[in-house]
Amino acid sequence: MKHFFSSLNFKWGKTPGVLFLIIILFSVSILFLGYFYYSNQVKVIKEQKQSELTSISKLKINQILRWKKERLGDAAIIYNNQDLIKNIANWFNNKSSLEERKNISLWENTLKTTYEYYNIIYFDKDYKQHLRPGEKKSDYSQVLEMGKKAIQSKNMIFSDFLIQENENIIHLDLIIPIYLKNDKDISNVGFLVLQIDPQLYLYDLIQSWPTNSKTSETLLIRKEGDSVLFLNKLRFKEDAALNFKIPLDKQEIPAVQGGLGYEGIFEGVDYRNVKTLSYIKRIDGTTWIMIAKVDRDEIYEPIKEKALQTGLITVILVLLVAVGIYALWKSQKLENLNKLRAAELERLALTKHYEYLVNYANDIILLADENLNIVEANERAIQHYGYSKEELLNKSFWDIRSPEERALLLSHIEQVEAAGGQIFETIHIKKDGIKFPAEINLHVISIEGKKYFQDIIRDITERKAALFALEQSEKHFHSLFENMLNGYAYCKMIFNDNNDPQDFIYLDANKSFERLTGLKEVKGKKVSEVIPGIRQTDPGLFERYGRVSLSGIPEVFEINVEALNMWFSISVYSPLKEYFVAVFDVITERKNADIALRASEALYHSLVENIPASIFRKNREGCYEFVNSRFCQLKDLKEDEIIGKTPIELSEYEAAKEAGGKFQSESGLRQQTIVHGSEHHELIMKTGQHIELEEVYPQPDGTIKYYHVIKAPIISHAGEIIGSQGIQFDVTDRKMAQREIEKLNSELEDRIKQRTIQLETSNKELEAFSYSVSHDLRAPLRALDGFAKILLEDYSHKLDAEGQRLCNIIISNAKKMGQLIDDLLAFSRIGRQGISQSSIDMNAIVNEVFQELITDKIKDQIEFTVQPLPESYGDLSMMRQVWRNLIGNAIKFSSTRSKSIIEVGALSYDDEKNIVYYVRDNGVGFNMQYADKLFGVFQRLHRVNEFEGTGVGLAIVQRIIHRHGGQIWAESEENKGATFYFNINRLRSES
Amino acid sequence: MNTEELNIVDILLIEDNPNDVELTLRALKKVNILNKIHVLSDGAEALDFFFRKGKYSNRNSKNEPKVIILDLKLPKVNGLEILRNLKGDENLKTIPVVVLTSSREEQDVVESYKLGVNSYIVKPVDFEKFIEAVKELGFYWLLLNQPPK
Repeated sequence: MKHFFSSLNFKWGKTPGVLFLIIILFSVSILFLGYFYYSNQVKVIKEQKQSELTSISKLKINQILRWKKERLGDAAIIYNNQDLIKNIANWFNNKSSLEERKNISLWENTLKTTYEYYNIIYFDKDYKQHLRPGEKKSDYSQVLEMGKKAIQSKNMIFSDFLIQENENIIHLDLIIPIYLKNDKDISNVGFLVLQIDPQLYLYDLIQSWPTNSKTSETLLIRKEGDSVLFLNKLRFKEDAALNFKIPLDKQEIPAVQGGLGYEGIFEGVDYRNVKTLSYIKRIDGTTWIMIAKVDRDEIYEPIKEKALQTGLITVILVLLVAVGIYALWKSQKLENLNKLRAAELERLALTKHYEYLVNYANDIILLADENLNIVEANERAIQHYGYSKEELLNKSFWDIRSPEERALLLSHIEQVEAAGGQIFETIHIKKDGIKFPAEINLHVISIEGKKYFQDIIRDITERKAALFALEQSEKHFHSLFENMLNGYAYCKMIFNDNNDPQDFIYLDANKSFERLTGLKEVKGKKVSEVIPGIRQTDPGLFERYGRVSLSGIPEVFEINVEALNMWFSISVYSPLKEYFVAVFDVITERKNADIALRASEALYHSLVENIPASIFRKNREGCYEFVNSRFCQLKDLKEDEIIGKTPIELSEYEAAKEAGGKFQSESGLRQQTIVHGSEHHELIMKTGQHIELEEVYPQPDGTIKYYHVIKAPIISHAGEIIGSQGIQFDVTDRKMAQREIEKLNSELEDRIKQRTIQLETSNKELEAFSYSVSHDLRAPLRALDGFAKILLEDYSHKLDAEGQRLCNIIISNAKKMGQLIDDLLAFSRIGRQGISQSSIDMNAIVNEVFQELITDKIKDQIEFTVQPLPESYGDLSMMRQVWRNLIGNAIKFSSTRSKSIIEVGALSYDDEKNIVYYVRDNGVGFNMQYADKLFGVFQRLHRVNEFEGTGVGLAIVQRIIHRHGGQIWAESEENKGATFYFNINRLRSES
Repeated sequence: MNTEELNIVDILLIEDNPNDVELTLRALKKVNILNKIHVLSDGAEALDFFFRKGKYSNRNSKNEPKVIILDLKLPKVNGLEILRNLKGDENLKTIPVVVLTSSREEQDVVESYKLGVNSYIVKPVDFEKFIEAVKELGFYWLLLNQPPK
């Protein structure tokens, strides 16, 4: 056991190899960086040197070319110096004067001293040399050839470097052919040779080096046959000029490369066989090649220095890195060792603890190899399964599993392998065949690289049984709780510091809670969230819940929860301090019914007592069992004197009480009524019918009272007739009033008949009158007009101006009278004419009327606006007349304005039924003082010569409006326009 | 007035007011309608004329007037009654009847048209207009209208 369970340990450490690898990696990187830096430096220095060589060469070439140009310039001056040439020509012909010879000497001296020409040779045109006094004759065969060429080409020639064979002098010659020029022709005189000593200037120019250098030099060469010839003396070879040659096969030498035609940078060995870097360039217009060179050693001197520096720094860096990493590794290793030591100590302690735990554990612990064969088991396992240890170690996980659960084993193992460990339940079997439910905690573990399954098993038989019992009980109670009809809520009360309940939280509630209260998903919520404001509306509820939560004494109460507007019957108890359970039922309906019943009773009572009628109820036997106070008043008895008696008994009682009675005279009638009362009761008891009749009661003072009586059965819940009831109204006054009305009505009808006859007569008379007016009043007027016209037509020659004027007055008055009659008739017709009712489109009428009224003449002077007008109901032609008169007036009375503004509209008051139409103008208006005269017949507020008219128009309008049940009025101010308003009763139907 | 004259009546004017008669005649004359005009001044006489009674018993029924100008308000028998009689008679109803009256009462107009009047003219007070109305009446009924043969 110790062997297996204590070997769970991890071994690991750092090898120094990794360390070396890191150091090498760092070193290589540093070396690479160093090399990269060095090679970059070399490249830079080389490029620098090359560009130096190139630029110095180019400078030299420029200087040489300029020098050559200057020399040719000297020659050109001589070539053009005709005086000198004349002198020379004369000298050649031996004709020269002394002065001329002096001139030549003077020029020669100047040339020699000032320039680098050391000798001048003269040849005539026959190539014969003329010697200057004292001059020796030399061999000038080279020069002669060039002179011939120069004369032929008539051009100056600049010779290459030449050497005087015997004298060993190096020179360059400038050959100048000379000509004498006059107006007619040019004649050759001969040629001059100016000899230049390169030692004097040219060699210095070539050889000088502008910077400080030990080995740099420039040199000129030219190709000559199969070798190159050095043209100047060299830095390291004094006698090289035109003397030193190198054959063309020595290609490593830059001069040879130049001779072969190469131009540019070249690395090779020089004439000393020393390694050099050189720049080669041809000089245009010459056979010369310029070479600038420097020794490699001189170039590599700074490079070597750089290499040394870089190498040194690299080595130092590599060393530093190596030392640093080593130190880091060392300290890490030390720390790890310390940790390992501590872990080892801890592990030892744990192992001990673990072994103890395993052996004395209450759980079964098994260990199996990867084939699920049991390789180890603890004491508890041996006890529980009933196998000996040897037997158990020969079993596998398959054997201890109950046969019906074995199929699942492989899937369990797979899950454990995937997750590393898992807990599940299964059924195991003991040696004696007894099965038990087991909770398995299976883990994969690795012991010294091998895979094992560690199985911790617990017999959960008891737990299962207990759980099952609990579940059953829980189910039972939950069902009860959920299904009971009462609402249930389990809550925690929240108190403030003074132990006053502030709020409570619903911890649980059943279905009925939701059904009864309509509150959903209350669990976990505060009541203040569920029913906001309940704390303020229902402090009583909080008080009771708070009290029970604190005291633990249950309470049962009924309460109206204002916030919900519901009545509750609540039993509340506290299972734990500050917690409470409320079991409740909603009793709103019952409570409401109670209240309604009480209200109904009160209403009924008040009704019965206050109604101006006497009410009674009789039982089956016909005895009074209830009477109201009015009934008692009527009988002048107290209630208890009446109750329990039949009407007959009551009558006898009354009679006895009256002692002798006052009703002797009318006793028959009275008796009859009383007998009727008993008969009615019996009839109702038998048939259940309702009886309604009028009863007559003679009064002690001799008058008679009339009662309207209704009698009906009293029916029990079972539908049985259990008595009768009745109500008696005193209708004596009504009876009297009715009689009076009947009498008055008959009188009234007579009167109306008479009136109608009068009215009809009057109407007929009026019609006859109108007809007569219409017909007869006009005839005389026509005669007046007609004959006055005839008078004017036929007798104008006999009438003077005044006579004619008077005739015209007759005519105009006749016409006016005619108009008056027409208007008056129209007015009277309105009164008599029947009104036909139809709906009227006011907008259409107004527009039509306006179109009729305007003429082209006044059209542009009127600004006419119509607001939308509601339609109306009335007589179409009459309404047209109203609008015609009103709009006509508006046009007429605003005609004096430069622009007439007329507006027609409608105002709506209260509702659509009350509509006021109006016509507004900006005319002369009128004084409101005379407003009452506006609508009178023949009433005019303006003089005739101001505005025409008979004064009937508005009277007609008013009459029409009145006939339509409406009203008309006007508002105005003098000179500020007028507004006429009218309304009509739209829905009035008049036959 | 002899029977001869009565037989060649073109226009029969039935009008009781002598002023109106004079004005009407003058109007006709003024517009150059010079046809033979006969004037009757009461309703009863008019009926005698049409139905050849009394002094008109000898009138030749073949020469009926071309147009009748009728006032409504007449002594004894009023215009509407005359109109009813005329339009109720098979022989007379083709004679055009023009009502020329002072009345502009709607009941008169409606009644006249119901009875079959050919034209209804309200006498204007203005003489000029009166002449105009008579002129149009004469032109239309005498010159333009084509009576059935």
